[in-house]
Amino acid sequence: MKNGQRLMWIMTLIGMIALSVTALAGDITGRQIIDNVNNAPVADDARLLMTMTLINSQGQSIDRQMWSWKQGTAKTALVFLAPDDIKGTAFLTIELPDYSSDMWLYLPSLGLTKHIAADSKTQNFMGSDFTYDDMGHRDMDDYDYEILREETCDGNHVYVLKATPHEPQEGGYSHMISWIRDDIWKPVKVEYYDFSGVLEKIQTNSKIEETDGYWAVTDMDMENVQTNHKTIVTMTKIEVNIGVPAVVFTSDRLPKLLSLVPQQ
Amino acid sequence: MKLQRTLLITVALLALTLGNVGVGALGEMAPSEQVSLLVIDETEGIQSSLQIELFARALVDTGKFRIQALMDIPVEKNMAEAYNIVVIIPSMVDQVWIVTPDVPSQLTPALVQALHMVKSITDKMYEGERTLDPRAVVGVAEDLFPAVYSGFLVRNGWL
Repeated sequence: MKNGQRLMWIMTLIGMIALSVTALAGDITGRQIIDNVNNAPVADDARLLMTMTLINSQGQSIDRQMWSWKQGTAKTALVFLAPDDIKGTAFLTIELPDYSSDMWLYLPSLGLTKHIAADSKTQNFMGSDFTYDDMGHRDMDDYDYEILREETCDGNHVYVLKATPHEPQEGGYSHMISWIRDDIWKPVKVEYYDFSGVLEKIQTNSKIEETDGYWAVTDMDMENVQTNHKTIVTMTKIEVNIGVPAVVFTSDRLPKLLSLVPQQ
Repeated sequence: MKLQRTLLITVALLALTLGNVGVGALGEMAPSEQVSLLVIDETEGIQSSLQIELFARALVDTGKFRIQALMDIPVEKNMAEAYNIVVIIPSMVDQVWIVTPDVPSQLTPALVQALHMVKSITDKMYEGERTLDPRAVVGVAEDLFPAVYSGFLVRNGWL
């Protein structure tokens, strides 16, 4: 083969390799996956009946039952129905455009409605293994995303995505790894790693159901593998687009939230 | 450091005792009366706040206490009736301060009995295995802070 022909072949080969690499990377990026998760359709409002079971390392458990009202993803009000020692305790959170939150807690025995500090977002929520941040929305611009691999999980195709915060101290973790279904853009599992990079918690979304065209996680658990404490959350009733009045999402209304609970 | 702390507590207790001389009616209550208790909740976290609700509920459920709450230690004078006991849950220290008008040996038997009940419930709620917000529970004879606040709250009519 003449030198000119050989050079042509090499150039063509390099071009083909470059094209195939571009095509692979061009399929989807980690950031696009997380945007798809965040852009999944959300009901205008919803009302949920939930049970939260806390299980300690000795296997002892406590059940907490609560009603929650939501307006989009920005506003959530909830009130505890059981056990008796926290019945009537109510919580309001309003996500602000800068991804900070305005949080209020009503303590019925003291008749106090108090503002909760913003740094509580990384604290465990009501004795559970979820932090407020685990349940709420994070600023997606604060993370770098990397697709680790693709897998099949319970018959569904999932992307395994690593999210690393630019400022780990703010997010509460060094990084997180999520298994995300690409048909409904919901995570089925999330692993949370502590600041030393050691696995701290595993969230498993074991049941994801559709209600009036909206997909929601209806059974989930969070296990802290370092403390052997576990929290199981089950949604026993979901109603969407029922016209929840805006006044429900005000701190003044928290003392009366228990009276809005539907009769069962 | 330990000696210095002991000295400070002794001085505070002495000041407290001397300061309360001549106000023997403070903290007096009839045995059958409900104890009036002021909870001062300085915390701002979800866990710590929920723990205060659990604590207050445990007190109310005994039927022995009338509870009111504030979110800051009051600096103004109290024009209403003084409380029998004040419980302060501070934001910066992992303690619960049980504040009485005087050291236990100087309180009326009824108030001593109420104090034992408050101490027992507070210990259970804050030092128990399942607490959401672990804290050491201290009274006026055990730590400087409750001793100092005792004098301050008595002077301003809250105790």
